[in-house]
Amino acid sequence: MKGWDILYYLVNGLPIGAIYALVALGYSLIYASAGVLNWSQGDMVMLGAFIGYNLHCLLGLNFILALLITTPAVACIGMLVERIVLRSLRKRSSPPVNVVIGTLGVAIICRNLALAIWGPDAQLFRSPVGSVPVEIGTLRLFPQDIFILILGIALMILLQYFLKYTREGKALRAVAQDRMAASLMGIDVGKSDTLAFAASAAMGAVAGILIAPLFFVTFNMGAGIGLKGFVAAVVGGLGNIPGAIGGGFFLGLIESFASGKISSGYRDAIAFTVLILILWLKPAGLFSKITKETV
Amino acid sequence: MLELVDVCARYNGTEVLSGVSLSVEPGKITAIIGANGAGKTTTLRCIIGILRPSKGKILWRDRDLTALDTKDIVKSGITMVPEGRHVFPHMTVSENLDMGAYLRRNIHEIKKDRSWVFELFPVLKIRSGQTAGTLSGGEQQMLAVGRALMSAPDILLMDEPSMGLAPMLVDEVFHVIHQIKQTGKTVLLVEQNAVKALSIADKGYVLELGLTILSGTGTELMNNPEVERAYLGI
Ligand SMILES: Nc1ncnc2c1ncn2[C@@H]1O[C@H](COP(=O)(O)OP(=O)(O)O)[C@@H](O)[C@H]1O
Ligand SMILES: [Mg+2]
Repeated sequence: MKGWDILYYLVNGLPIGAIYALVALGYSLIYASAGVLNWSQGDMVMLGAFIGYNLHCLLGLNFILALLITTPAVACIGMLVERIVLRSLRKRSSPPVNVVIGTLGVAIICRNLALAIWGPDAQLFRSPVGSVPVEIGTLRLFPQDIFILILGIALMILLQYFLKYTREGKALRAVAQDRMAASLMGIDVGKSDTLAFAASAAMGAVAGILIAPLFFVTFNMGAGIGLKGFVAAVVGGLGNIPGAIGGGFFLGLIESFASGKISSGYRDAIAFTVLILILWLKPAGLFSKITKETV
Repeated sequence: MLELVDVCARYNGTEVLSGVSLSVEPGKITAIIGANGAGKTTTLRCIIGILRPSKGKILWRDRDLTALDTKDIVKSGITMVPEGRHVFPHMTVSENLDMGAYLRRNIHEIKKDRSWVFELFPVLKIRSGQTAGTLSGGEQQMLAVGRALMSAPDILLMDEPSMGLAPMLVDEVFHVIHQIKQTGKTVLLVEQNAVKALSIADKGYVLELGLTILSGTGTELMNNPEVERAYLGI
């Protein structure tokens, strides 16, 4: 493979990989704190895209302002999901699978709500940073791709900082590592779950606004992106934060490679085959050895 | 004074505590001894709010703890060193100690307690940058005790702190429990190692099949023929 080829796959794979990583982080963060899978994660992406579309494209609000409103709004929806689904089911000490079904219900409600509000048509979201690519040799760098990478990576660094250095972040890590011991420290473990849902929804929302210009915005876009993010999280080791980031970028690169080398029509099939192989060889995820630390 | 009045508890409908009554005097070491499965851990879980009793009262400072969440019970001045250590495996020793002080704000006081913990367990100072998961069992036990002390509790509940430790370390742990008492703290100690526990306890209770069947001073219980036969293995 020539140097240019590698660069080509990187340029194509890394931006979408960053999106997968953000969604994967949402799954893993919630799984780490609350020990459940949140199937509405992909629909937080969709809501982020639609609310952003509404504010920026329909109301003409400045893009950054739209982002700053959308993100906390979707975070609140995430908190609501935790309060309504997780807490009420926990109170009845339902098995975790009931919570999973509950979040699946949330996903369906979100989709139907979006369908009712914004209709069945795919909406065009113009890139706020323009669509004229920068050409370097045979490579074409699109401003939106660069924008995605910068904002996505910044958000990942911010999350790491939050987990490592803030009081609430440390509490969340403690809950993830030993829920019972965390409660003995006086930590409000329920609040930590709420926080995990809020942060996950917020990252989903940013991912949604960022990919909106790459694809069209549709009411059922959450299903595909949610599944890809989930796979990335599993590849990285569910609940493993650095693993989710690695898994996201890895999936993005595999897809880019598959569509470049073989055919974009088989992209998903090839990507998923590779992922099944990885999970068969390393059931605990690709990064179980490198990063012993999970959260 | 912490007082348990006829506390009953069940797991999935099966009653495992059918009447635990005991009182813990301030500044003293109270020991609960009993065979494996007698309900010692369950009793501590009820006090700290991990398990809600099905009946009975747990009184502490004119309040009934049975309706409170663990975090509020910890706020009220009780903490627990759980059975099996339960340190945060991916955090460093130092971070684990910080988590112990999670509810506290006075940085000066926290610093003082941290140096005290390092005095009690010099090995923790040496290992302070190491992740807890890489410590030996004995070191993890010390960390679990040190972390609990960082909460500055009035009452320290300790669940089998000597379990699985080498004889030399067992002596060290009991020595530390004695030192903790000398700072004016109250200790409720649960142990299968009845000889050691009763020898440092001011007061002891014998738990059998979820019932407190005997109580007395440490020496009284040690000299009780029934206790000798059943628990001291003499
Ligand atoms: N989580 C649990 N679920 C069901 N039964 C339990 C659980 N924990 C303990 N038990 C049962 O409750 C009884 C008392 O256990 P425990 O309090 O752990 O005893 P001890 O600490 O004195 O060894 C035992 O019969 C044990 O099998
Ligand atoms: Mg026990």
